[in-house]
Amino acid sequence: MGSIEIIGLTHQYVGTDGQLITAVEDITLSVTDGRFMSIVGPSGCGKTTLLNIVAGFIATSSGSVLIDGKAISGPGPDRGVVFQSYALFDWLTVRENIEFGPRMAGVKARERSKRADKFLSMVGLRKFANRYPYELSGGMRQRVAIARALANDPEILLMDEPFASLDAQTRELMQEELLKIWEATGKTILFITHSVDEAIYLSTDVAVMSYRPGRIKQMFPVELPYPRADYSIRTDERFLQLKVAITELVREEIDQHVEDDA
Amino acid sequence: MKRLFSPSLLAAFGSVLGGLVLWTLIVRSGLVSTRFTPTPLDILQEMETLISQGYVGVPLYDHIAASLIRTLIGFFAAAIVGIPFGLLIGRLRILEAAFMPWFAFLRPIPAIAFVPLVILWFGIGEFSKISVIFFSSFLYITVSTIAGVKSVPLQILRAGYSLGASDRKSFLYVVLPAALPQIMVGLRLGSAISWTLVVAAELVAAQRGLGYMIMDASTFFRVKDVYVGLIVIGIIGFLLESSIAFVEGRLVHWRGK
Repeated sequence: MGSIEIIGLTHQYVGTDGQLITAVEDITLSVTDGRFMSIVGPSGCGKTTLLNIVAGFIATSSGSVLIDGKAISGPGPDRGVVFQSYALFDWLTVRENIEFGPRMAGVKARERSKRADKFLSMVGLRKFANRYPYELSGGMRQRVAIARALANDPEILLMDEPFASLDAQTRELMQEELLKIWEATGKTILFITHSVDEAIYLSTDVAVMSYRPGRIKQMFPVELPYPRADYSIRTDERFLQLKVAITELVREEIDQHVEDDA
Repeated sequence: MKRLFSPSLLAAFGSVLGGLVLWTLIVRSGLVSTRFTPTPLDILQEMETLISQGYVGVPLYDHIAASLIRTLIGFFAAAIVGIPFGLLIGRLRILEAAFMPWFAFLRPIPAIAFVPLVILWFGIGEFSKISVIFFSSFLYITVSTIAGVKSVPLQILRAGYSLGASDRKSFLYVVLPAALPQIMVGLRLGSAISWTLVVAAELVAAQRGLGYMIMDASTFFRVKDVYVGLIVIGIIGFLLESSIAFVEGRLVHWRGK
């Protein structure tokens, strides 16, 4: 279990100048159990808004989001969220951060600690269990955030440009690690990024969004075999073809947006 | 590795030492009247006398204790009431809207200006001094706490909720610790203002306390005692602030990192 169904979703809000802005419009999208879907699109296309709606952080104007067939009513531990800004609790150690979800659920200390151990190992941070987030590098902080989201054992992971503020090397490393975790756990992942390369490398499906109002412009299944933890996949013929096709589509949107503004 | 005598440490010591020497030289040269300006050494001697013999029959420690007790009662009462109050107001927009005009109006009034009125209300006893201290540090602590609650980053709140925190748990385990740095700033400001106020209030109406002591000393031209009083007030103020800063450093270790 762990399917996301988005039906006819539209989100409007009143901007700072009092105008009604349509962030996303009529989005229908389904991510079935165990799939890894990335959403790419130009900045301002509403992809983060879409994720925030699925997470339950903002209410929709119309349309619905179903998780395993049930409409959502706010954020919840059935959907783990990983933020670009890490959003770690600075006053808690790495271990305490990871244990936060189980603690909220009333899991006993011994069981919590066992679970934290498991996810600390999974993200390779056993040695740093008693450090504080501010003592860690960006990549390590994001590992903590991933482990923290996983500790509740949600079927779904929502990731909002999680690697966007990491340097290129760390970023590739984190992508590989995320794939390993996904392969090991079988989670359903909805992943927001503006990197076409990242989207293809990670995903089973890539959705391209149009510039405001954000709509789903086109879907691309990625038919590359897993495991992909091998950088040579990035130079595979199919990878490159897909990259060209998706990049062109995204560029179209960006160019149009530039003309709009001119 | 830090050097034992860093340039800034030398500068600090040099400045203090130089200032004291300059002070002594000016007084010795006769440029200013020794009647109103004793030398640092004279003050030090007088301090010894005050410590051993007290001020006009009352031990120096009694004055210190009087001031400190007033300050601490007023300050801790303000913290005990102000922190929960600030948390509540910061959390509920409607309460904030209701209370903010009062805070905005009352806070800029120097608390010392309330002393005459408070004396009319409550007389010159302990209660009036403590209530002035309470009132003004309460304002600082509450307003800082409100700011702390409101400055919790949205993503941090969202992270808490998405990890399964209820509203109550989010408040206890996310909002409260996230607001702690600001709360500590409020406590630091509150303690500083409390100490300032106790001295000011004692200048106006008291029979004990450091403020009373320097006022009395000045009335009877016991000039050296005025200086000793000022120095003691300075040292205690510094110790108060340092101890809160110490607790702050321990409690909110993550701040600024």
